[in-house]
Amino acid sequence: MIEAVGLTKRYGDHLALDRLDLTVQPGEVYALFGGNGAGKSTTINLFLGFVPPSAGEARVVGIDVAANPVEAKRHVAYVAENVMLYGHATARENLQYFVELSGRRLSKTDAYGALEALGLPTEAFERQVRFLSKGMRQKCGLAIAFAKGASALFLDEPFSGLDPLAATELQQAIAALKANGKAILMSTHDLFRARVLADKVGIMRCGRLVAKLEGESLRVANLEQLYVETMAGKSVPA
Amino acid sequence: MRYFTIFWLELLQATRDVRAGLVIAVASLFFVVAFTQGNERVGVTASAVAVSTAKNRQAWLAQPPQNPHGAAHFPVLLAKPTAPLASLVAGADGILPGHLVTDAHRLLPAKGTSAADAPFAQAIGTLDTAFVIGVILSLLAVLAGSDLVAGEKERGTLRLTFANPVRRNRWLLAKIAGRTTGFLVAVTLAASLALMIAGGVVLGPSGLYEGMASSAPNDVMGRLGGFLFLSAIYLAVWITIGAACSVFSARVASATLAAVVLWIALVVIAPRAVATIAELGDPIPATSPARMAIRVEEVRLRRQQEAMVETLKASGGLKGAGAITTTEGPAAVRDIIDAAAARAQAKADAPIANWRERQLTKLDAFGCISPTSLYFRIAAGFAGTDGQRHHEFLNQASAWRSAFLERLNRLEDRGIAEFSDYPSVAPFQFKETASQRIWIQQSASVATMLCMWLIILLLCFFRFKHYDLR
Repeated sequence: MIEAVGLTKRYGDHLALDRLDLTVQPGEVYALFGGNGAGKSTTINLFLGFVPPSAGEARVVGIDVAANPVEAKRHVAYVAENVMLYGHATARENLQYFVELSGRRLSKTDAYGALEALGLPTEAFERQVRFLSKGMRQKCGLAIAFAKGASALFLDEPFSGLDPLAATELQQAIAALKANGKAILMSTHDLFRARVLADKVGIMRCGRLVAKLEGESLRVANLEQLYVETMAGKSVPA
Repeated sequence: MRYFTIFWLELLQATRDVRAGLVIAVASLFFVVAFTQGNERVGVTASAVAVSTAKNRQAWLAQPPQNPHGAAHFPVLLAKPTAPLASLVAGADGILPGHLVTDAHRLLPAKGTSAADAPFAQAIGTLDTAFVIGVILSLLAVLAGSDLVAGEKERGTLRLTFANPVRRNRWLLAKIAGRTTGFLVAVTLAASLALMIAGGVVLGPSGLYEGMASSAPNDVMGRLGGFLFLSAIYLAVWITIGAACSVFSARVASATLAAVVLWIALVVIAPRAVATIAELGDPIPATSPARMAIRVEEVRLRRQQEAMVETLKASGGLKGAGAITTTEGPAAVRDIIDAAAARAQAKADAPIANWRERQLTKLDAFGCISPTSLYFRIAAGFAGTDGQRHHEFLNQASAWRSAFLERLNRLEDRGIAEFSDYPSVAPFQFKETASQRIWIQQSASVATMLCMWLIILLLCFFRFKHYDLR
C-alpha cells in the first residue's frame, strides 16, 4: 500500500508540495495529473526517499520512507519517464542486476520469463540495451519492477514519447501488474490511458492536490475538460 | 553480494566500453616507446662502462714501467652497476652521472647528463614507464573516474539504482573498486601488448636482466612488486580524484573540466611550485669555490708529501724511485695526508650536503601535496635509480678503495712487490640494497600515498551522502 499523510516539501521559500494526502491500495492505480512544477515528481521523489519531507509522512506498506528508507525500498519499484538502464549491458543483465540490488537472486530462466511476461521480444533479451527502442526499455523497466516482486510501483510519465502501439503494449503490461495486486502511483499526461487504467485520479497544481476523482465520479467525469479547467484555475472540484 | 554485483557490472561495462579500448591503445603506444627507450638507456650505460673499462686497460698496458702499483690500478676499476629497474624508471640516474673509478685516486663520470644539459628531462621528465604511468595514465585515470557519479545521474541510472535498498557509500565504494579494477585490467593488457610488440626488451638481455645480473633475482622481483603495487595505488588515487570531481558535479562536462584542471594543478604545476617554494630564501650554494678549495688543499698536501719524501731520501730511508717502500715512516705520512684530504673534502662538500638534506626534508614535507611527486619519488626508490643508491655506491666504492689502498701500502711496506700478489685483493662488488630494506625505506611514503587515497575516498563519501538524487 502507498500512503501520503500531510506530505509537504519546501525548498527555501518555495512550497513544492503542500499537505498531500493520498492512499493507493494493492491492485489499484492512482494517476496524478498536473503541469510542470505541479508537484508530481516531488511526490515520487519523496516516496523514493530521494529528498526528505519538510512535514508529513510518505509510507510504503506502512513503513515511513524518511525514517527507514532502506527497508521501505525493499517494497518499491520505480519506472522513469525514460527508463535508463546500463547501455553496455543486455536487457537480461540489467534485469538481473537491478533485481539483485533489491536483494533477490534471479536465475537466467526467471529473467527471461519476466521479460517475456512484460512483452519484450525474445530476440531482445540478450541485446545490449543501448540498441533497444524506448518502448522496449520501458518494458524492461516494468519487467524489473515485476521481477523484484515489489508491492508498490511508482511510474513517472511512463507513456511519454511512446508510439501508439508501444504505449498500448505498455498499458497492457501495467494492467497485468495491477491485476497482480501491485499498488501503482503513476504521474502522467495521458488522460486516455489513465481513464482505462486508473482507479483514482488526482490533479495537482502549484504543489497542491486540487482535484480528486475515484469510483463512480471518475467513470462519469469528462477528464479532459476537468483537467483543462483545473489547470486554468477555473474550478477546484472537491 | 549486492555490492559485489555492483562491482561486477561496473567491470562488465568497462570491458564493453569503447573508452577501455582507447585506454589500451594509448597506453600500449606509450609503453612501447618507454620500454624501447628504457632498454636503450640501459644499453648505453652498459656500453659506457665497457668503453671505460677497455680504455683503462689500454692505459695500463701502455704505461712504460708496468710496476706492481700501476698494475694494481686495473683491478681497482669500480663501476656502478645498472640499477635493478633502470629500464623502467630513469629516476635520478637519467640526469646524475654514473661513476667509474678508473684508477685508485680519481672518480670519473662515465655516462649521464648533467641537470643543466637535460632541460626537457628537468621540465617534463624522461619518457620512461614511470612517466607513462605518472603523467599519461594519470590523466586517463582521472577522466575515467570523472563520470562515475555525474554520468549515472545524467543517464538516469542513479535514480533507478537508489530506488532499491542500496546504501550510498557502499554503492560508491563498489563503483570505484569496479572502475579501478577495470582500468587496471586495461592497463595490464596494454603493458602485455607493448611487451609483445617491443620484443621483450624489458625482460631481454639489456632490460631487467641487467638488473637481475647485478643483484639477486628475488630482490628484483621484490622491487618490481613494489613498483607495480605503487603504480596500482597511484592510478586508484587518480580514479578516486576523478570520482570526487564527479560527486561534486551534477553534469559530466563540469566534472571532466574539474578533473582536468586538478590534473594540471597536481601533475604540472604542483611539483614545480614545491621545488620553487623549497628553494625560496635558500638557494643552492655555489660549488666552484668549494671545489677550488679542494684543489688548493690537494696541491698543498702533495707538496707536503714530496717534502717529507725528500726528507726521508736525505736520511737514506728510501729503497727505490717512484715508490715509498721503506720503514713505517711513509705509511704514517700517507695516513696523515689521506686524513687531511678527507677532512678537506668533507669541509668542501658540507654546504652542498647540508643544503641537499634541507631540500629533501622540505620536499618530503611538501611532496604529499601532489600524488605525482610522491609517485616518482617512491618509484625511483623501488627501481634503485634514486640519489640514495648513487650515494650508497659512492660510499661503498670509497670504503673499498680505502681498504684496497691500505692493503696495497701494507704489501709495499713489507717489501712485497710481486705482481701476482695484487689480484689477490678481492674485487669490488656493489652490494645492492635488498628489496626487503627498500620496502621498509619506502613504507612511510607508500603509507602517505595510501592515506592520500583514503582521504579522497572519505571526501567522496561525505559529499555523496548529501548528493542530490533528484
